[in-house]
Amino acid sequence: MADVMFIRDEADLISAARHGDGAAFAELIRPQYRSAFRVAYGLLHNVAEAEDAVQEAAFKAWRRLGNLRDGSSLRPWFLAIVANQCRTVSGSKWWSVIKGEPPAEQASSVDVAAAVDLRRGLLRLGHDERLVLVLRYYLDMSFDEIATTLDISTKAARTRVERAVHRLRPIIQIQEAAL
Amino acid sequence: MDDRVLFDRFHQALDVEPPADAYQRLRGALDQRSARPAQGLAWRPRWPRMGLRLVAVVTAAVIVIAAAAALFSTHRVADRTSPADTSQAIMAYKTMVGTDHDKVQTAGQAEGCSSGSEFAGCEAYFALIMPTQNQFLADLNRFHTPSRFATADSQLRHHLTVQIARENVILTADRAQDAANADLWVKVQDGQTGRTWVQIMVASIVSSKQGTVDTYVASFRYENQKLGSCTECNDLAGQSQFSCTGSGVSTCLDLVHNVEAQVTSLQAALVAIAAPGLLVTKDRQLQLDLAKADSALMSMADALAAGDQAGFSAGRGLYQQAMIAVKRDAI
Repeated sequence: MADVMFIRDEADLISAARHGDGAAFAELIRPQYRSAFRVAYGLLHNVAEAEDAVQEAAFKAWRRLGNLRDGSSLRPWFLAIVANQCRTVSGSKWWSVIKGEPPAEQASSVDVAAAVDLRRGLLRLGHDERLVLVLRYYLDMSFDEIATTLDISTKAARTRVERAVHRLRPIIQIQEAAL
Repeated sequence: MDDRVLFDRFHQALDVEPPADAYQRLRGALDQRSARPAQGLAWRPRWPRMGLRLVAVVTAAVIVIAAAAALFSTHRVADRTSPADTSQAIMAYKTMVGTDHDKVQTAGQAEGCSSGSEFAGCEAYFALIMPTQNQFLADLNRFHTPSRFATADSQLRHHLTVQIARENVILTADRAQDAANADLWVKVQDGQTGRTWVQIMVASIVSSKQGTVDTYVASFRYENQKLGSCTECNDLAGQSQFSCTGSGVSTCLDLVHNVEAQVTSLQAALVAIAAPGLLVTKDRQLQLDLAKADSALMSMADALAAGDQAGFSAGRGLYQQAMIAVKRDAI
């Protein structure tokens, strides 16, 4: 059925998706897919796991589409579901930190080594700290956007980012000093 | 380390693009789960057995009334159709259908009714959901239905009426603590002749677009071919014998729902892509005959749950006649 429908605007898509049309929901999240994948990858550091997490989050979002308030933006709502899915994935795999680290032989230059160290540093942070850093410095979100995504105040978003940077800085500086 | 450095470091460390086919894989997975209930029934009553006979009698009476009302309603389709076929009228109708169905879908979500022991939760669930269904019916009745939705509208009202009747049966079974009967009716209500049909038809109405001869015919042929190659549909339309008593009731109910799924797909396809001018008459007849098959399948499901063998046989006869007509209508 979905193949033969001609669905155009977002209101149509949301309504169709709410009533069970998977293709309509896929169209809705198409513009958010790249951001969702980047959030998942930023949190999990594994391409396959990130793809799986986004897919699982998409199914959850589809089921909960009725909870999306009229007039609300789909993007922060969906990204929050992706982040929660990543929390579940990483929380259920005690070996995820080890698996997420790239092989040592990749660190063949200072730049690459610095990138590897940042990733290792991130993995030493808690999920919430990692999430705000990924949203801020990888997805280039403003504090307002972070606040909307996490359903907190802008001030709280700024404080969380600053606190996470404060936690991350010594980790990567120690690693840099050791290079 | 200032902010700018952090931005650069993060992008350098994490800049990975999604795999080339990742989105397509997601789309395929979502597609596969299309047309399934986004929110299943939030309740699964399991109560001690009691009063089966009494509930069966009430059930049969309610169904007869609902079926009579539906039959009357179906026969009046042509009379109710108004010339209000402007794009604004179509949009208003689609919005009403989508909005009212959303209310039905979300009503009662907060109520705990996941097992038969949650009597208060289940009562509360029905208390919340039934007014939204009645409101949906009232809005459908007061609207000037655009002609392209005339048959779908009539069937939608029929389905909603039957749903409410079934919910009253479940409530009666609940109060009589009749677990087996309640579970059977839940299965009927949760299946293709129940809320699933409504979900699919509402999705088709809301996303309906005007078709061309090519798109309409292609859509029809695609779904009609699936219906034609459905073994269970052909068995039910033919002379195969079914044992639908005792433990066979559940199997027969599954069969009826599987057949209904194919009929629904064809009905939904005709609504999703509206017939172009040249094919409107043909389309109307086709939709009316499919509606007869749909109604027959609903009555068969109800008869099975009520233990009414004669009702099941009568429904099957109506289904067989309807399917002969549908084949004759084929484009």
